Amino acid sequence: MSTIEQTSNEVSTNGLSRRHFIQAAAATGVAIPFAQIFGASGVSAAGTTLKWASQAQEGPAAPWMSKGGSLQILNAVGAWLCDVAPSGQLVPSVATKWKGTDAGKTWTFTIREDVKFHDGSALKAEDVIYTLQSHLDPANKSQSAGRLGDCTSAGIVKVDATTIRFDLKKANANFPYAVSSANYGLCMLKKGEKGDESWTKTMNSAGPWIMVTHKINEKTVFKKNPNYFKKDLIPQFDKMEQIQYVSNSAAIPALKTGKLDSIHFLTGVEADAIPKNKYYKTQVATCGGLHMHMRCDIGQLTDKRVREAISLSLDRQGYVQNVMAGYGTVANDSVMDSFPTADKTVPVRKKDIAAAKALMAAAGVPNGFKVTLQSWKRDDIDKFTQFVKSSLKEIGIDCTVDLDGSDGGGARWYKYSVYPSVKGSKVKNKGEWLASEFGIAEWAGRPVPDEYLAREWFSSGDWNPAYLDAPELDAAITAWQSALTTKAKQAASSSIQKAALVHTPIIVAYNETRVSVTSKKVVGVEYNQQGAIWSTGKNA
Amino acid sequence: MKDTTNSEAKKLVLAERLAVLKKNKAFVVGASILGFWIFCSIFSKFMVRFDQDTMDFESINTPPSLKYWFGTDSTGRDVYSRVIIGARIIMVISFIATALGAFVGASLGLIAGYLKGKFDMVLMRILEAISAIPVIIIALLAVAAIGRSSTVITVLIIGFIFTPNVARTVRAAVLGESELEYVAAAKLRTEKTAHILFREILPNVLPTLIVEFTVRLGYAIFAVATLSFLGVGLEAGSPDWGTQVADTWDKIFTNIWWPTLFPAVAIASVAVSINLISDALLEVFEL
Repeated sequence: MSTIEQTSNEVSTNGLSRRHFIQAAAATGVAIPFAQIFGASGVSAAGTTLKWASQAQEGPAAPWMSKGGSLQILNAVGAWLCDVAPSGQLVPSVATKWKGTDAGKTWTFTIREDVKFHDGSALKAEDVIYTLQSHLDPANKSQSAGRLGDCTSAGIVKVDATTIRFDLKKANANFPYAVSSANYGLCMLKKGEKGDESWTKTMNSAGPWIMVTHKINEKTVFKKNPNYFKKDLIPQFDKMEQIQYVSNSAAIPALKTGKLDSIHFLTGVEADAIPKNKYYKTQVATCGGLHMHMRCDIGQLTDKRVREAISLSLDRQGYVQNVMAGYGTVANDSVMDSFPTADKTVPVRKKDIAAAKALMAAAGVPNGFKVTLQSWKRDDIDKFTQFVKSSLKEIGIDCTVDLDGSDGGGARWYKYSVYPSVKGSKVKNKGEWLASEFGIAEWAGRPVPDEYLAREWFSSGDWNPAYLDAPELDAAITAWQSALTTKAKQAASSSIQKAALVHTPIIVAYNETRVSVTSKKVVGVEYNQQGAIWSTGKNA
Repeated sequence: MKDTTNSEAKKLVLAERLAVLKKNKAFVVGASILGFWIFCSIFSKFMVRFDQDTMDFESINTPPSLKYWFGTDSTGRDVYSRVIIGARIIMVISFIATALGAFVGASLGLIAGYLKGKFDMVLMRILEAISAIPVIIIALLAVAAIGRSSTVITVLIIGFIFTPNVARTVRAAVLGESELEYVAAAKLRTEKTAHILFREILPNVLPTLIVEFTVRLGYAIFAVATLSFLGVGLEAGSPDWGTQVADTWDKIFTNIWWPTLFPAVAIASVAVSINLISDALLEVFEL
């Protein structure tokens, strides 16, 4: 295994030996036979339909417009250069293998020749190049463009009919993750087809499911794709219905009455209350969760002592253990904590009201102030905002909670009227994610922290809601991106963790464990870290 | 001398009506329930056992017990304390919103009923058009147009929604009153229109307005709770009853019923009590 491949292994989010083996094998293109061994049988359950509940969409399920809630749909119909398995490891998909050279500045992907779009046409190298270049074209306003980091349109080169080369502006050891299913907006588009809302009429891609009908925020019906190129992963159900609920808890009656087979992303308490004799629970530990940002450029939270005081008012350990019933892990205000490269010697913040009050006094606001915490209405966000409100009361901050419940939730909050966030722009508080003084965005899990760092934490990131401009944090992130060895990654991670604690632009109190509940009439249903269905299993 | 006689006669009539009300069982029951909640809303701080926002992480989703009379919710907050504190919120907001609707509606009804003619016709058609749209739709449209919800917006929306009903009721009463001799006498005395409307006619349509006010107050309780339930009312996580029901109803399916039941019963009890009172008033005022 090359140095770059080894590094990719060690920064991703798991430690199972079998998965390490598959991941390592995948990088050299030998994983497919083993995946077939470990995969489900090929027995078909003719005439069957899998019905499962997922969260409401925050926007159209279109590649250029992808937002939370639409990823489950894109994951059903889409195909990517490589996939991220539930373990967090990269496995081959449209690309059979990939290789980094020039110290991670150049990446070469070999693509399969047997991939077909849902309309029957063959997927070619030109389609892959078109897909990625379409996201990088500013005219398309793709919300996935930021995920491609230092990749440029000119840097995507067709070498031959089955080989594509990416010449990056700077080294990135984790680049394959940037073009993987973790970046669900980057699913394969047929050359010439737009990835905007019009795409949702056909959802023409090359994934395991073909869209039959789609009604935004209600229900999407799929039929299996018999020509799916991963023969071992061709669905064993004929159809799949993905039904969207504003609250996943609201889907429980449908599950109990047999109208649903599975619900993804319940709270642990809810999942535990469902009878175990008829249903089984699956859990995926993720690095995702709620990121609570505090504006560093305008408003009342510009003093880092105030931001630290807010962080110290939170009993994150108690919240995870009790409110979340242990279905999560305590985080330490950075996105690095759950990855193997994290510096475990960095002390984890604990509730300390005396210290928080001292910081408030030092910042000149011993009696607190009024502030509005904004986000959108979702079960976990509802609870967390109340936790924050209750905690801030203890240090004199009168916090009003403003949750957007419009259009099923999040329409106002994720309006992106100021997208991308621009360094130094001093955008005023408009009650939107990227223009709010104090707000919460939910982030799904990622196999590596690169997207969080590049988009959310870097001063010029396009999703930098805190508008922090800290040179030492930027330097640490840059060091992380270019680090090619595990040791260098660990050093960069440590610097990022420490800088994050110094400035506290974003509070990351916990990383969630996603819990799904499935009827025992179906076996083998599996979801990945982001919440997309990875395996639909089969009838028991 | 004549004024004194009139005043005494009015006092006598009022005393008779109060005596009838006291004997009206529906009124007594309604007033007792409403009185309890008004007491709660005034003295809530002395009645709660815990801070309504404080989370007891050791007592998540605890069923009703000696420590937590109404149990705790999914973040360990005391449901009893939140229901008691919530009384003040819903009572105050409903009262202010109803008062706003009654004031604007009564003013419009007085003017329309007194002036009649084209003004009356145009105004009534506009108010009828507004009345034809379901209340919740108007509320949702208003919140969507404004872009956010808050206590003030909730009050304004409910006040606006109630204005047509109050205006139509008062107008109908004024149409009858404006033909009576005391109005003609006031005109002969060249009293100003405002004087005739608010000093002469209004006192005589007051019983109608009071009954309409109580009816609307009952609806306002439901409206505030419904808007909060839909997430377009008060602040998220507020201890108002509608928000409490909205935040907890889906937990019923996991057998955690107490955070939903108690605020729901509170809403129902206030709404029923106000309806009982308004029914009794209708009977006593013979409307």
